[in-house]
Amino acid sequence: MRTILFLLQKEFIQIFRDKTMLPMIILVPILQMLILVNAATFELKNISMVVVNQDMSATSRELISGFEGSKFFDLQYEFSVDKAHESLLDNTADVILVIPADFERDLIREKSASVQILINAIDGMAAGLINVYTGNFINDFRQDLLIEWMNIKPALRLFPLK
Amino acid sequence: MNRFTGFVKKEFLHIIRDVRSMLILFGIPVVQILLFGYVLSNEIRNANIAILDHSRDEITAQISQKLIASGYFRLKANLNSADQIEPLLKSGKVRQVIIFEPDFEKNLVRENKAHVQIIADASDPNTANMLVSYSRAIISDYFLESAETTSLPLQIDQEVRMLYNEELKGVFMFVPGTMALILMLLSAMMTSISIAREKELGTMEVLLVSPLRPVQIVLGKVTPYIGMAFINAVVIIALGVFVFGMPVLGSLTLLMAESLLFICMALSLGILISTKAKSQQVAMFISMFAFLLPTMLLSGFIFPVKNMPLLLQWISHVIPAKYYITIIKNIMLKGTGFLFVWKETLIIAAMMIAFIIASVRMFKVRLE
Repeated sequence: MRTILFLLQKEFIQIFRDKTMLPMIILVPILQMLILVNAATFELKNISMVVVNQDMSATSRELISGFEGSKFFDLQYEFSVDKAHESLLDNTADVILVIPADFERDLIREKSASVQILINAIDGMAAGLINVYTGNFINDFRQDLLIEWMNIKPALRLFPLK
Repeated sequence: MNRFTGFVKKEFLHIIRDVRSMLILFGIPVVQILLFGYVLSNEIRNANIAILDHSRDEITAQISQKLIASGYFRLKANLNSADQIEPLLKSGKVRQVIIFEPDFEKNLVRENKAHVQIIADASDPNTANMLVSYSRAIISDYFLESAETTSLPLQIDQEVRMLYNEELKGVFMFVPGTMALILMLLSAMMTSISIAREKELGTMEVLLVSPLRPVQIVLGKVTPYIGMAFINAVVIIALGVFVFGMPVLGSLTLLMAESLLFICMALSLGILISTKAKSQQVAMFISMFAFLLPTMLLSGFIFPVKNMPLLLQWISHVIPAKYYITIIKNIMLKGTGFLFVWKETLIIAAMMIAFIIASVRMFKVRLE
């Protein structure tokens, strides 16, 4: 039994003398913990969105201001789709929202219009979330328009339960 | 020069004769890429859910149907009372419970609103977040598609295009990341260990007094690993393309050249470590800590860097793998040319030169 104690003592002395390994043994787990806790998140907070607004109408601006007010989106503006596409290629943007010319006119005349959403989907999971977020925003915008323009309260509307 | 080739040959033989080295060099990358590709997928498919339907009417049935038909969820249990929820979630058999209030359809018709409650097991917050967002999207989709809303005017049609990865495959994230991880670990760890081994065994002294100059010793140590790491890069890309169906849209030559640059950078980092480390154990520990963790966590391999705290984002700028991963993704998946990756290339090259200068300064011709 005593031999084990001496062996233990020897091992401890060796560990404490080693000036490179000792700090590592202690620091590594702490740093690891700190980094892991903060780094390991799939949450999406800052989606970089490039808006190509070819319509320049009050309605399209209203749609964009909805995105602007959200904490999820960081907005940049471009005038051409090609330029916006470039920012997807060099990783400065995650998603492009294209509002075509005549967006407002189509909404008023034909009661329907379309927007284009181009998502960088290399990170498939993030792309799925971006799609959901953007879609929700546009749907909310449409609901607001319905109330504002036609005074129709959509019969079915989703309310998040708190 | 003849001496130098002799030395390189000796190093080659050292590696090739050692079965363990060969296994580490060629076995690990293949196993790792296959494991990451098949196991580490964060796509959500067939998550088990339970439904507690107090109302049991037509609309709730249709919504449930739509949830299950989406492919994201699998119905594990139909519950009858709220008491069953907690034990079921605790047992871990379901990830999420969806509850429809009593008289769902009636409320919807009369008051124009009804309540759905979603309870998710958030012990894995990321998955829980995804599941809840998917469920909400599916439920709101149901209402958007239902006859009453489609007949309303002011449709805004969303044309969504998923660029560069239309099927949203998880592999597209993991293959570039694994490639960076393996090249980084192998190159840096193997060189630092092999130089530290000479020190530990005391054979470094023999080498230092030999007619070989220090530069030749270091270069000789590194040369075999350049070749081996390059073969590894080819194997990994081949696995990615032929097993996981990744495209190489850009130029293959550029991709290989960038990989070679990255390998050289990792090797010079390995040399730098070996000038500091006195034993194999220390060399191994430094390379593991300095490369494995940051490369996995802060390079954008698994977790998006953009969503981390600012401090970690700053640290991520000095992680070489981050730039390499960006380069690979750009070349393989986006098909861009050198114009879109020159900045990253320059950074890796600058890092390499900095490591080389630092190791030349610190390389000691004498042993303490």
